[in-house]
Amino acid sequence: MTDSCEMMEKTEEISFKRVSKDQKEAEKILRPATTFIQDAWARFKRNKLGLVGLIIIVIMLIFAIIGPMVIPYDYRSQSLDNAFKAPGAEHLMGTDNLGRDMFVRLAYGARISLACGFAASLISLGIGVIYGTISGYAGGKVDEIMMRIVDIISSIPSMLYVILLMVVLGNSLTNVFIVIGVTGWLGMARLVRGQVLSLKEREFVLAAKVSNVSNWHIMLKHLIPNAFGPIIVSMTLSIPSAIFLEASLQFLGLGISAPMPSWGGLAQEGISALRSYPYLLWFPAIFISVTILAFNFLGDALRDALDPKQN
Amino acid sequence: MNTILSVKNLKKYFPIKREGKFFGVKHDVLKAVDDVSFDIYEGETLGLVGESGCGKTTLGRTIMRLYDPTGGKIIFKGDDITELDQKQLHPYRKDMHMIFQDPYASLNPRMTVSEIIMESMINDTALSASQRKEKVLELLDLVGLNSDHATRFPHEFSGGQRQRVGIARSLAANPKFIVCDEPISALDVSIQAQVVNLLKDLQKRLGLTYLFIAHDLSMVQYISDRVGVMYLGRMVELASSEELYKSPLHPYTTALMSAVPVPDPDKERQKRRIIVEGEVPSPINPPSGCAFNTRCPRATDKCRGVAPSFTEVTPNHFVACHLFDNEKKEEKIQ
Repeated sequence: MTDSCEMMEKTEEISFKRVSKDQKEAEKILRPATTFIQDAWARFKRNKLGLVGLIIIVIMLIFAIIGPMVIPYDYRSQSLDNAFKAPGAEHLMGTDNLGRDMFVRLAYGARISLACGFAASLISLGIGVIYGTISGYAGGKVDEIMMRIVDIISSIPSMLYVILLMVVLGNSLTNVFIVIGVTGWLGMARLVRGQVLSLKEREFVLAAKVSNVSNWHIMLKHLIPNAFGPIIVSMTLSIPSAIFLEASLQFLGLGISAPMPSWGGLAQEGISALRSYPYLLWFPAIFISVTILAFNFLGDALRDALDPKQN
Repeated sequence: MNTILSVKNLKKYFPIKREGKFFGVKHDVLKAVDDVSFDIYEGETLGLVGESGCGKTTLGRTIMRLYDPTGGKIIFKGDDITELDQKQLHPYRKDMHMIFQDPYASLNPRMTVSEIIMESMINDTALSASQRKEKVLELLDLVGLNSDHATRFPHEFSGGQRQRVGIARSLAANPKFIVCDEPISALDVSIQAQVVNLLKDLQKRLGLTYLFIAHDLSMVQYISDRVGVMYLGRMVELASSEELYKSPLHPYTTALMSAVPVPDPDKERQKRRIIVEGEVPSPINPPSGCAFNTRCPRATDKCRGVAPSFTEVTPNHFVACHLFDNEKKEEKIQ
C-alpha cells in the first residue's frame, strides 16, 4: 500500500493529477434519469416506417372522430336524385346507389372498424394475458390442462364458431367486439405463457419469492411488465386481423345492421356495382388496406423499440 | 456458539424426462445435492466451494426453500422448515435473504432501484411508506450508493453497482442469515474486492451470518471462517478455512488447493500442482461408492463399493474419505 502511495505521489509530480477520493462522487451517473417509455420512444423515432404507420393511424382516428361532425351529410339520409354521383367537388368520394355521401359513410365506417379493432384486441389481450400468466406461473398439471384446452379450441376453425356465435348472439356492434375478442385470445395466451415460463426462473423472481411477496405481486410487478413488449407488439398486430375479421363478417352479412356502414359492408355494397362504379369498391378497399398496413408497420417498429437490447 | 441453521442429510433430486419407447416417459434422477449435512453458527461465514455443476447453487436455493428438498432436514433457528408451505415459511423468510449470482438478471429491469429495495419491506416490516423511503436511502448509503440512485433503473448501473443494489435489497428486512450465491463471480476482479469488503464490513456492523457460495478459492479463504468443499452434490470436506488451506485431507481438496495461484512467481514455479485426471462424472448416474473414485489417485476397491461417511477426523475437521476411516492410521497427504 505504501509503495503504491509513493508511486502515486511521484507520478503526480510528473503529469497526473490526483483524482478526488470521494467515493460517492465516483458513483454519480451523469446520464439523466429516463424511464423505460422514454427510452422506447427514442428508439421508436428512429424507425421512419413505424412513424409513417403511427401518423396514418392518428389521421385515421381523427378522420373517424371528427369526420362525421364536419362533413355536411348524413350517413343514412337517402336522395335518389344524387345516386351514383362520381367523386367530385360536391361529394368528395361520390355517392352510392341510394345517393348517400361515401365520404361520410367511410368516416362512420372508420369509427366502426377502428373501434372494433381496438375493442376486440383489448378483450383478447385481457383474456389472453390473465389465462397465459396463470397457466405459465402455476406450471405442472394446471399448465398442462389449460394449454390442452387452448389446443382444443384452436383446432376448430375460428370462422365456424364466429358465425355460430354471431347467429346466437344476434347482430350488434358490441356482439361483434365480443365475438372477435373471445376468439382471438388463443395466440395471446400462448405468447404470454411462453414469456412467463422463462421469466419465472429468472433471479429477480426468485428474489421476490424470498422477499415474501404474494403471487399476485409477482405476476403484476415482475412477470407481466417484463412480458409487456411482446404483448404490445402482438396486440398491435392483432388489431388489423380484428379489422379484417369484422370486414369479412360484414361481407358475409353477419356484422352490424344497415344502414350503419362499416368498411367491410361498404366494400360488399361496392362489389355489386364494380363494373359501372368502381370507386364504390376502391375507396373502402384502400382504407382497409392502408390501415392494416399502418398497423403492421407500427407493430414492427414497436417490436424493435420495446426491446432494450436494441440500444 | 449458537447454531442458526443446520442442514441434515439434505437431498435434492431433479427428475429428468427421457423419451420412453412408445408410450410413457422414463424418469432419470439428477442428484444435484446428495446427503449433505452441516451447521452454520451465528455470526460466522461458511464458505462453500466446488466446481460448476457440483450443486452449490442448488444447495443454497434448497436451504432458502426455493426448491422443495427430496429428503433430509433444514433446521432454521431451532425449527424444522423442511416441510412448511410457502405461507408457513413467511416468518422464517423474514430472517433470511439471498444475494444472487448474476447482477444483470437479479434486478427487475422494469422497477426502479427504490422499488426493488422496498419489495421485501412490504410484508416483512411494518414500516409506513415514508419510513420505507427513508430506509431505502439509508441502505443505499450503507452499500456506498447515493440517494439520486433511488429513482434509477437497473440498466443504468454497472455490474458492481447492481450487485450493491442486490445487497441493499437483501438487507432491507433486517435478516439474520444471508445466502450469498456466487455474489462476485460475475464481477471483474477490482470490483470483487470492493463487494467482498462491503460484505465483510456489513457482517461486522449488522451481525450477519453468511453462507458464501463461490468457486474462487482465495476469495473464499479471505471471507470465510469455515469452508466446505463440494464434489458432485456431496460435501467432501469441511474445516476452518485456515486448517483447510494449510492441511487439506481429502484428495479432491488437496488437488483443488494446489490449483490456487500464489502471487509470487518464485513460489508459484516451485509449487507442485496435482492434476486430477478425467472429467467430472454426470450427476445423473454418479459412480457407486465414493463419488470421486473415478478420478482419485488413491482410490481402492473399497472406494468403488462403499460410500464413505462424513466424519469428524480431527476436532471440527470433517471429511468423507476412506483414507481416514481409521484415525490411527491417518496420514496426511501432501
